[in-house]
Order: sequence, then structure tokens, then C-alpha cells
Amino acid sequence: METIISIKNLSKSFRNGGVEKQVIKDISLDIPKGKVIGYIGPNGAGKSTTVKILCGILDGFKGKVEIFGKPVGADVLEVKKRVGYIPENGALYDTLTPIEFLSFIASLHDIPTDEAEKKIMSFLAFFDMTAHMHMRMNTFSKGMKQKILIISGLLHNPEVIFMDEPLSGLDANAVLLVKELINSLVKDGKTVFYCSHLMDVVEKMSDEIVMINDGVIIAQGECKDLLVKEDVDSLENLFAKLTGNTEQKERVSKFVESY
Amino acid sequence: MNNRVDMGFAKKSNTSKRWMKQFFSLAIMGIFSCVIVATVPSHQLGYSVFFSMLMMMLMTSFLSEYSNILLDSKDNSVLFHQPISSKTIFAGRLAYILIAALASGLALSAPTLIYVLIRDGLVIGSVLFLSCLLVTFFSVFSALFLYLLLMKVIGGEKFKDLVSYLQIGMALIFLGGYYFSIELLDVKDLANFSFSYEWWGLFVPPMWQVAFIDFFKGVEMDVLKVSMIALALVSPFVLGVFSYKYLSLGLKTDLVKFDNKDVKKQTKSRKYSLSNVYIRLFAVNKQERGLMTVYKKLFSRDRVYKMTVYPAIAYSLFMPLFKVVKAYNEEGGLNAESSPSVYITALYFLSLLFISALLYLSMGDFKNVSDLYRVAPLKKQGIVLSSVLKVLSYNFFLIPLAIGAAFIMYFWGWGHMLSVLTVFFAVSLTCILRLLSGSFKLPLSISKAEMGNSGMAVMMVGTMALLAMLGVLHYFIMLVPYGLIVYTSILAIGYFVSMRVLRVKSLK
Repeated sequence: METIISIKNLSKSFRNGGVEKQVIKDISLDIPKGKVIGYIGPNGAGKSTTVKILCGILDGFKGKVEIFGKPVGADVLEVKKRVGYIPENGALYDTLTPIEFLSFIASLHDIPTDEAEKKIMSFLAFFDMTAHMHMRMNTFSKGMKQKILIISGLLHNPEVIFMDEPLSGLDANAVLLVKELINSLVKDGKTVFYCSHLMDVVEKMSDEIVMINDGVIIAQGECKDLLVKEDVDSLENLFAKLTGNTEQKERVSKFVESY
Repeated sequence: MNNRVDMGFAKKSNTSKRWMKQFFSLAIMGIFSCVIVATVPSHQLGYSVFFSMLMMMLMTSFLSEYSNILLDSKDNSVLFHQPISSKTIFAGRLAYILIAALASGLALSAPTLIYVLIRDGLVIGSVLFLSCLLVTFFSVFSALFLYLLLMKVIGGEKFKDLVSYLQIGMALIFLGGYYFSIELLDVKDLANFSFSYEWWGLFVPPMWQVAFIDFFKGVEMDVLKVSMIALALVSPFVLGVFSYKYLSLGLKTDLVKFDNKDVKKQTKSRKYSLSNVYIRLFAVNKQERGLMTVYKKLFSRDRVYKMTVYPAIAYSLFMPLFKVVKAYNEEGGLNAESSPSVYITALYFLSLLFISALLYLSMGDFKNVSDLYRVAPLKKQGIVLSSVLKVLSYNFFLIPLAIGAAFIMYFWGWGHMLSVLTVFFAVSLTCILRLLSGSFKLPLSISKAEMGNSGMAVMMVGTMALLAMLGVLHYFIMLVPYGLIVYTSILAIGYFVSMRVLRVKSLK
């Protein structure tokens, strides 16, 4: 199968007040085309940092990262035209309306005006946002803003889509819609790199799982194979077993007793 | 709450140094009022001007800074579900505002206080000190009273809009009035000035303090003066107590209403509006067109940005207007034979609003949007800056220049119109070079607190000095045959080349 994303010996550190912290430690990964890859791990594991490197947001890393056979970095326009990014808590210009913001995004991707209008209307209708399309987004709830962010990441029909906690703030109906949308995008030949710390959601949606903890990949493969191999029944238990955190119940009862 | 009020203390490190710097800057500004008190023969007039200036500065500070403390709704979700009453919240904010106002008031009054202490002795010096405190309290409490009353009557976005326009309008009046009073003050007339207490003085708070000082100077008292003294002593506390006991009740509810954003339906702008035509003509590609369209909307909707930049209208319009009117009166009219220095000065002053807009272009609340520009398929993010420069030119420069051009055409004729182009290219090129030399900051991405004020005053003074130099250069080049044509051509080439260079600047 064609490899669309290739990561070799990727490392990334951040300097914070004179102290250097290594957030990603020598990870290597090949992602095939047309799959949903679930990139999971706890908070602070390095998921968002990996995604930002892949999207060209962060540089100053060690190792080799390629998408479509081209190295990622600030200057590779070809890659950016074919990649979509749906951030967690992404910033929007919330004094704009959805139409204004999405038209702006479309102009950055050089989408012809008529085509952009049709796509925007179609996406807004898909997410039941048509009634709000001329309202300024500073009145929107978190979930409504997240829907606009999702649309902004998909508007230019990217071949690879990086999603960082895309379901954050969405209501149940919208979650179902997004899941179905991801399935149909993959059937259409797109590749979805899905980042989350909610392992039960990722478990159901992903073709392959990459589990990261403290900057290191601790498991990789098809979900059912991983579960069988480690003799666990869920990704959460798999993660707990691989990281040696199996005494949550005892910790909770001790804490509650002392509280 | 410490990051609410800028006051030049924006950065958390070196806070005490910034306090000293702020205190020192205000004390320097206070020297002007000290000069008035020292030189004006009528002590009552001198003190009237002193207290007026003090009140004006404090009210301006309240409008631009302290009101943000009172009206801050960012911690609604933190405080309001705790067992804290509205009065407590009001008292806490009031304490913060009063401390800041007292520090500013004392800094502004320091030169005059020291001078009066030496000149008139301890008693009058102490009375003046007390008067300064009273003026400070009065300024703060009267502004608070007004704001709280308005909040009760009008809530939500309408109140925010009203406050924004009120603040801009009052800043314009204060700055314009301040400038005009300096220009109009003729020291020769002051020697013969005779001060008298009139009934309308009951509506002029600075005069109440003058009466208070006169009491200790042994001036004969009457009903009018005693009434003024009573107002001076009592009014700050009446306003303060009334605000605390009655108007602060329900502050929490008012702040929640304040935070509720009215759902605003945005109408689509007309396809062939002047601004859209401008964008279509001057955007180099679709991306720049999209950026210009969006930034035109963002700048027009950003309340904090408008409140910070719009007061510069006072300098940008009043100063050239005043210069022109003065020249018109002195020469008995303007015509083609009049010195071009009049319109050259006016044109460069007109650019002050544009330059202010550019100095503050990074101020805003969209902190995390840099990712959007890093992911987007932009050759370089510098196109954002070139787009914003063009938008700000349209918003703040081209229209004043067009008015200036009409004025030049009317008085001097077509032959002098080239100067308008010269000014446009000279100022724009200077601004582009400023953007190229500084670090890349995305528009509307740095909060007001982070930006601070400490460097802005220096930059503004530096900018005015630079404009003065450009104006002088412009004037002397006009004396050289074909000099202006050559100079303008060089500026135009520089403008287009530097614009291209700006477009390829990268966001780090």
C-alpha cells in the first residue's frame, strides 16, 4: 500500500525558561494512504506536537518527515494545498460570521468564488448551521465553533486530513455526523490522521492505532491485533498495561477516603 | 486582576521599574501645569487650569483604562458562582481603580505641589495636596456614577457600543481641547486677566477647589464661595457612597448582561461598494483579496483597537485644521501664491492617524491564529502585512489625503497636486520600512496588556519627528527644478519594491 506520510527518527524539544524538555523522542512511522490512523495518548504525550510538525506549523525538529514524498516545512506549498488541519481549540476570527470566515479560508486556498460559495453552503447545511451563517461567531457555543473549524479544514478537499480532538464540544448528533463523514472521506481515498486522548472513540473509528506516551510510541498496529496480543479488552486497559498504571481503583479509593 | 489595567505595567517582570517609569512620565507631563501655576499672575486662574488639566487627565485615564476594570466580565464565570456579593466585587474593583488613580493624580500634581510648597508654605501646600486628592476622588466617582447609571439603563452590547463611542468622543474632545488650549494660550493676555467667581462656577468642579484654596489664603468668603467649598468637600463622597450603596447593587447581574453578546446578524456588503472596488483594484492576487476583505471587517469590528486608535483623529485632523485656519487668518486668505509649507504640514499631519493605526496593528484578542497562517498555502506570511497595510491605508489615509487634495486644488491649483502623491509614497514607504525592520507580529494578535504603553509614546514622538523631517525635505525639494518629480518617482519605486519585499517576510 502506498505510504503517504513517512516519519523517520523524529525528535522535538522545547525550551521553557532555560530548561529543555524533549516532547517527541525518536519516533518513526509510515502511514498508508486511505486509512484512518488513530494517534492516541494521554495529555502531554506529544500528539498535538506531532500533528503540528506534520502540518508545517512547527519546525526546528530532528529527523525526516515527508508527506506525498515531499519534506514538510514552512515553504512547501504543494503539501499545504493537499493537507487539511482541524485543530483542537483552534482560533477563529469570531467577530466574523461563518460565511465571512469560510470565504476567507477559501480565498487562502485559491478556491474559485462560485465553487467556494456552493461548498460553504453545503457544509453549513450538513452541520445544521445555515440559520447561523450570517451571525457573528462570538455568540456561538464551543460546539458551533468546532463545526466551523471542521468545515475550514475540509473546504479545499484535502487528501490528508489531520484532526486534533475534532469532536471536542460537539453534541451527540454532530459526533455521529463527523464519524460518518470520516468514514466516507476514507472511502473516497482520503487519509485521516485522528489525534485524541479519548481511546474508546478512536478504537471504534480507526483502521490502525498508534499509541504514544511521553513522546515515545508504545504500540502500533490494528486495534484488534493489539488487544489480542496484550490480552486486554479495550485500548484504555492496553494503555494502562503498557504504561504500568494499573492501580487506578486503589488510588481513587485512597483519595476519596482522605478527602 | 493585575493584568487588567495596562498603565505601562504590561510585562510582569520589572513591575516596580515600570511603576517608576510611569510615575516619572506623568510627573514630566505635570510640569506643564506647574509652569501655568508659576507664571500666571492670577493664582485663581492658574489653579483653575491646573485642576482642569488634572481632571482631564484622570477622566481620560478612566475612560481608556480604569473602566476596563469596572466593566471586566472575563472573570464572571470564576467569581459569580462564589458567595461574593455585588458590593464586594464593586469595592474590590473600586479599591484597585482608586489606587491607580491616586498614583497617577499624585504623579501629575507632584511638580506643582513641590513648587507651591516652596512658594506658599506648608499650609497652602497641604491644602493643595488635599485638593488634588479631592479632585482625584471626584473624577473617579463621577465617572463611576455615570457608568453604573448607564449600565442600569442600557445593558449588553448597546452599552459597550455606547461606552466605546463615548470614550472615543471624549478622548477626541480632551486631546483636541488640550491642543487648542495650548495653541490659544497667549501669555500676554494673562497679565491683565481678572478672575471672578460667577454663579456658573457651581457647575465647574475645578473652581470649587480654587475656592477651597482661597479660603486658606484669606480671601473674603461669600455664599457662592462657601457653596463651592461645600461641593468640593462633599461631592466626591456623596457620589462614592451613592454608587456603593445603591448603584453597585445588582452589579453582578449588570455584568452578566454586559457579557451577553447580542446576536448580530451581519448584512452582506455590497459587491461594488467603494471599499470592495478598492480591494479588487489593489489586491495582487486572490489570497491578498481575501486577506484585505477579512481585515477590513476585523479592524472595523474590534472595539479595543478602535478605542486605542481613533483618538489619534484629534491630532490627525485638528492639528492640520488649526494650522490652516491660523495661516488663513494671518494671511487674509490662501491662494496659489501662499507658501506651500501650509499644505505640506497639513498633509503630513493627516498621516498621523494612519501611522497610529499601524503602530497598534498587532493589538487584539486573536492570539492563536498564527497556526491558521502557517497551515494555509501562503508562499510567505508577509502577504498578511501587505494586505493589512493596504486596508489601513484605505481606512485611515486615503480619505484624509483626498480631502487634503481637494483643499490644495481649491487654494493652490492643480500644479501642486503632485505633493499629495509625494506624501502618500513617503509615509507609506516609511511605514513599510518600519514593518520590515521590526519582528513579524500578526495583526490583532497581542492583547492590550501585553503590548503595554511604555514604548508607544516614544514611538509616537519619534514618528512625529520623522514626519517633520519628511515635511522639511519635501519643502526644500520643491525649491529645486523638477526636484519633486524625481523625488516622488524614487519614493514610488521604493514603495513598490519594498512592498514586494514585505510580501515575502516569514512568520517565525
